Amino acid sequence: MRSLSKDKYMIAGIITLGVFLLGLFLGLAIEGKRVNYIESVGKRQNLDFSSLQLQYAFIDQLSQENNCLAVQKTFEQNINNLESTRIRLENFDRDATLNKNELDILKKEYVLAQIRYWLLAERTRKLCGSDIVNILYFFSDESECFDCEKQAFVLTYLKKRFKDKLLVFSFDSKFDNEPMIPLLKNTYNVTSYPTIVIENHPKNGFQDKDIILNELCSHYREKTEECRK
Amino acid sequence: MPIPVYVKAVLWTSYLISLYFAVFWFLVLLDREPKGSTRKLRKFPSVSIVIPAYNESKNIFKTLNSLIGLKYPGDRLEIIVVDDGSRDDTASIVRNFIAKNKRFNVRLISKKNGGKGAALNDGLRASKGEFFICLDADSVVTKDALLKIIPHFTEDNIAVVLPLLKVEKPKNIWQKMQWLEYIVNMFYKKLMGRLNCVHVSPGPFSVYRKSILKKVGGFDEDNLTEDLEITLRLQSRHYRIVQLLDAEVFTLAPKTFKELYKQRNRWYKGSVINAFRYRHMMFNRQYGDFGIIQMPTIIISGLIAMVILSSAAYYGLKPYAKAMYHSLLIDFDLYTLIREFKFDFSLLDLNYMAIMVAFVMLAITVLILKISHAETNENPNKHGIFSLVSYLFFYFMVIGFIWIGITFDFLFGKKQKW
Repeated sequence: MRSLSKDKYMIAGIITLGVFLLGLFLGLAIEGKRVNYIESVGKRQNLDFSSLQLQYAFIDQLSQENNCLAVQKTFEQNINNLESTRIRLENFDRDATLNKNELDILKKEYVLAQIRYWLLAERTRKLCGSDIVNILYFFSDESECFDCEKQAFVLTYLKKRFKDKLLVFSFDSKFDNEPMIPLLKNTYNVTSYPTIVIENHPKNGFQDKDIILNELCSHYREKTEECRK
Repeated sequence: MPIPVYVKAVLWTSYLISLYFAVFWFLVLLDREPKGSTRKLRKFPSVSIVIPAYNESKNIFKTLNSLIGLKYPGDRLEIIVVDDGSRDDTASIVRNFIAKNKRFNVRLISKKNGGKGAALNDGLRASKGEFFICLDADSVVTKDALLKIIPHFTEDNIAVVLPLLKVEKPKNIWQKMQWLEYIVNMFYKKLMGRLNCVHVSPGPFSVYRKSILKKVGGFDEDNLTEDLEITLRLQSRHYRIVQLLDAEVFTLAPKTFKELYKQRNRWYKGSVINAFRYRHMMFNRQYGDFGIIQMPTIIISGLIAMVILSSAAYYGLKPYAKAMYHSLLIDFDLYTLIREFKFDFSLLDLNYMAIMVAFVMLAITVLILKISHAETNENPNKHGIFSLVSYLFFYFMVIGFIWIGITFDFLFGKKQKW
């Protein structure tokens, strides 16, 4: 009978398991930190939103339209913050193992935040008479949506070109159990992804840069440099 | 897009298996070197060195020259060149050599071409020594190699003692990477030897106890890798195989990717075929550690190399492919993207699991490199940092690629000499 290093097999197994568990715990600790981070950022952003609401209420009630520009800047900043956190949250959610539920709740909060900002944008546009176009972007990450990735990239690019002249609100359509999402989807007849809604005109399927650009420019009162190109 | 669960499962399994093996062999390393591994030579046993040569006119002279330089009594040494139907002037070079070195017992056997295994068997039949050494014609030995090897036949059941094999004068990057690979392999085989788990006795200067070699029936004449087959056969009969780290032998390594691919395709394919042939040893406790850990390794190492290569290629290249495709969507207006780029980075964005795995694997590799060079009296940086880095980050992909080629050959039934 040849020798068998039983003890070594055992010890190697234990050490391997140890290293693996160490990694796993580290991963979970990081995940916890990520949840906390998003939560604290979310709290701050809620405050920012309340403040913004107050600012617009102030303009509205005391007819302080000359302050519109300053408040709009804050709006733009807030919405950019919101978007970058939303993207980060999506990345975290992708890697998550144990905290999927917490992250999903946070994601849902971000969906609501997007809707809140969108409604505020609609109201204040009338109030301040600003030359801004709103795009609603419905996407899904449930199954592989190759076109959604493309669409998101094109929208991000356009946002960079038009800056505060363009507001993009992204809605993760996974959250069907949040009544606002079906409500929006019904309103704009969203049945497939991606769908973008430019000033109440829904468009199904991937829309390339030039189509959106043309559509956008038809809505601007003042044709900016971007539209003259 | 998230990585699919089954891909994650395969990746994690590969990682855990690799980690387990590394830890296992590290534990073997921690064991003290077994005592009494050599004995004093009272008399010099007779030794036969057989060189199977097929079209080796370029190398044979150098090889023979290194043999007559061996520190060993000339009358106890017999050198047999088996000319395996060479079409070049191998035979005349050998005859010339014999004429000029009459003091040495050098012989030439000429035969019709029949492959290396058959040539070795012809040499085996013609040899008179107590020990039998096969030596590939593309290898040279150092002077004291034999003198260092023979005393390691301490017990009757030791069938083979293997020298430390190094790549001869590596010139280009391919050879330099193999130089590192050989050092690591030798060290690994030394560890395997402690548990009697050596699975291959390569062509250059493996020293056999002839009585055992004859008893098990000599070499397989119809095998892609007869050196691996004979070792598996010896293992299946419970003989011992010892790897040394001090008797040096130098061998020529393939200089191009094409040559390397050809060589490794044959080696690895041969290892799969022979592992299948000796599958009864796989996970069989009767064969001790060899059955439990070494037999599965022969197959698993190839699988893991393939998994790592394909995932590295896919997940490493995909972002670039995507970026290219995406820039197409915006008419390559990268200026806008760069102008509006905001540095928004949080430490939390890093993928710590991947970093952790990469760190563990790299640490293990560097540790193995360090120890194996220390044990073989070499310096990892001997052939430059470029070859070292290429070996660390690129060579495994080459090996993975070769394994993928082999898988295709098996799947699509490429004709092979069995």
